[in-house]
Amino acid sequence: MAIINRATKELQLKIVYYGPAKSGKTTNLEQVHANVQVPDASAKGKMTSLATSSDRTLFFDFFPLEATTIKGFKTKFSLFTVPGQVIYNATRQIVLRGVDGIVFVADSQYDKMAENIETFGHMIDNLKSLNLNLEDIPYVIQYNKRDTPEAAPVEYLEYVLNNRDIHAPCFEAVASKTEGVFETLNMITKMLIHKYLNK
Amino acid sequence: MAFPQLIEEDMAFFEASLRDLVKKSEAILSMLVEKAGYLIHQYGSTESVDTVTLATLGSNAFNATHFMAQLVNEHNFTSMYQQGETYSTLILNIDEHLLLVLVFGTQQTVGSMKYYAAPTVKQIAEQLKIASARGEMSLDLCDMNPEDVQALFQRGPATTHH
Repeated sequence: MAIINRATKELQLKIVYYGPAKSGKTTNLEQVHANVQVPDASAKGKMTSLATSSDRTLFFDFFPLEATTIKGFKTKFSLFTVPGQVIYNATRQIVLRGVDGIVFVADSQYDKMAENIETFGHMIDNLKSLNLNLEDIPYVIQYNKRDTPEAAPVEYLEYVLNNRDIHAPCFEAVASKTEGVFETLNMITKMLIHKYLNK
Repeated sequence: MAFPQLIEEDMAFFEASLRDLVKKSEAILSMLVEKAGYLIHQYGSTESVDTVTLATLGSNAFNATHFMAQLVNEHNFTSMYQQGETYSTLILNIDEHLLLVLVFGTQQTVGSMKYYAAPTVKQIAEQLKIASARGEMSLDLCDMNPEDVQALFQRGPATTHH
């Protein structure tokens, strides 16, 4: 749910990186945070990670990022991840509250396909519990870990995860090497801005 | 219902309300935070506090504790208190969208914070109703060049932050 503040000329949007455990959601955020070009330091906030002692996301990772001003409006994106582990499903639901756009980070490996599908289903259920429908929310799919020997072909991943009435934009990625990370982020931000352009 | 669009009148009202609250309660900092984590407005001493992160953590902590309360069939959840040794934090529910976050020194009591905050919560809730009644205004981005948003974010030289 975007926040439009005409007084301060700000548009605030929330993007959530969702996906199964160890698919690379936190890595995506870390790579954006480490590599994004910003006009000044204030455009990029500190990255906050609520993680377990073994560095697994416990609640969420978060950092704020400002984009160049659009027609006098400053656009502030809040980037979040959810915990991938199923036991944290309740916290995923909390992080999804007020979401404007979603990046689904899928693990390309064959043996992770069941987890990808299950997590996608949980995401739809969690959105429903918040009275939201996936059809109404801009989302993109990132097929991460393309450099692993067990990576399934993209056509197969598309058939399994992106076989709906509305075809979501998809990106191949190796997030640990920043490959595909900015392409994914730019697509979801573009979709969100266009949603407001067309309002 | 969506969060209402805010105009100068709303922000001036929030500024006056929070300023008045900080003055009366002697809180160090007061913030209005949308429940998805957005910082809407702040008043008080913010030099040493990352208020954007505080707003995000506060709203998610409030939502998580609310969820926890519901699991034990407690449906009346209106505030959350973190007791510190030097500074404490009180988060109060304003309406379905908004929270009031107060940071105060431990020489103040949580009871006094709640006492002074109660009218502020009501006033801000009323102002939000006024903002909602205005309805949605178009954002007027129609002459924006779509090419400008092809790649909002560019990869630059890597930096490390700790």
